[in-house]
Amino acid sequence: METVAIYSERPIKTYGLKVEHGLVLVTGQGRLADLVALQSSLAGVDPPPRVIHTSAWPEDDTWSISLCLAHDQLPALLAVLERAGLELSREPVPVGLIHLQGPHFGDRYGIVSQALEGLRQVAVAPLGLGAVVHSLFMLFEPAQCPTALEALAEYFSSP
Amino acid sequence: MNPQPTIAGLKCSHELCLLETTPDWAATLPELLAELARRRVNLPLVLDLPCKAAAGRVALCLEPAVAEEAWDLARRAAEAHGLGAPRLIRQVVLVQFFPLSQDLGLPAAALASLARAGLTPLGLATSLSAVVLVVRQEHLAATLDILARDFDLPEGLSPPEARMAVVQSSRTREEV
Repeated sequence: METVAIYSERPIKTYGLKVEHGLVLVTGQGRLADLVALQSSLAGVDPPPRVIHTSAWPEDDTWSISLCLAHDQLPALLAVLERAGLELSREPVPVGLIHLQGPHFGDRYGIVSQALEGLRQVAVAPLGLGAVVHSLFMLFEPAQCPTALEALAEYFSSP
Repeated sequence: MNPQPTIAGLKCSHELCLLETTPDWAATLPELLAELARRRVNLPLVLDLPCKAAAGRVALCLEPAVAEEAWDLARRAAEAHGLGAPRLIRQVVLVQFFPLSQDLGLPAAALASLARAGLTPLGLATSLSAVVLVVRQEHLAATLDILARDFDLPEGLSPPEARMAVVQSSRTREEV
């Protein structure tokens, strides 16, 4: 079955445009076996570190993993990564996260482009971004979050 | 032995293509995405991944019908900016399961389950509520079987296969 969609909202309606402060971005690398070892490394960690966003992607035989989490979860996460055999690619970086919640962004062209255009106008570049299912999230240096949020609010509305 | 992770849903997309760039694409990504937006191309997945370097390794999922066109645009952008050539991987599928609940154990368990079966996904990312695996289409059936076996799923779950595709009209509402 095929549904034909027409979107011409300005600003683009979302279910939420939110910022989260006090986060940290951790990037690591290792073999696939090290990523797999995360499961056993997490066993017995109670409570386990709460991670807001995870991505893991191979680059040749090495997998890069990035994790975004609240700063108070960092010690637990670092212990888990170390036990799994994953190395940090660099020191954890303080970040703020801005996320927009869908409708389903994958069914609508131009969402990420529009967000980047808004940010370009205020000369802010995200440290990383992901549009996955209903979420568009972007990571920023903490001091840039207010400017970024203001710029994005020009293009996206939320209830 | 870890307890069986509980999930509430398991879904997969229809066939897609995966466009992957080399690192250092952060500055070039807006240009490519703007051009894809002008051509009304839907992007079921976009990641600009902080990796070994600061950032800038990009992964995009695209409908097969527009993938060659997007790949061509990306190659031209790479050439213009002196970047490495992007690659296109055909016949991939997004497998999504939820809820995530900020639980790193869920993606870790999925990777471990797949690895035990000798399967390696092409990548993994989470939204606020779900885990998304990018897998080769030839591995889809095995991936779904493994997740259904190793994860605790509710009874009577709807089938994972996507039954509806959303396409963009070539006209806007004003034109209609």
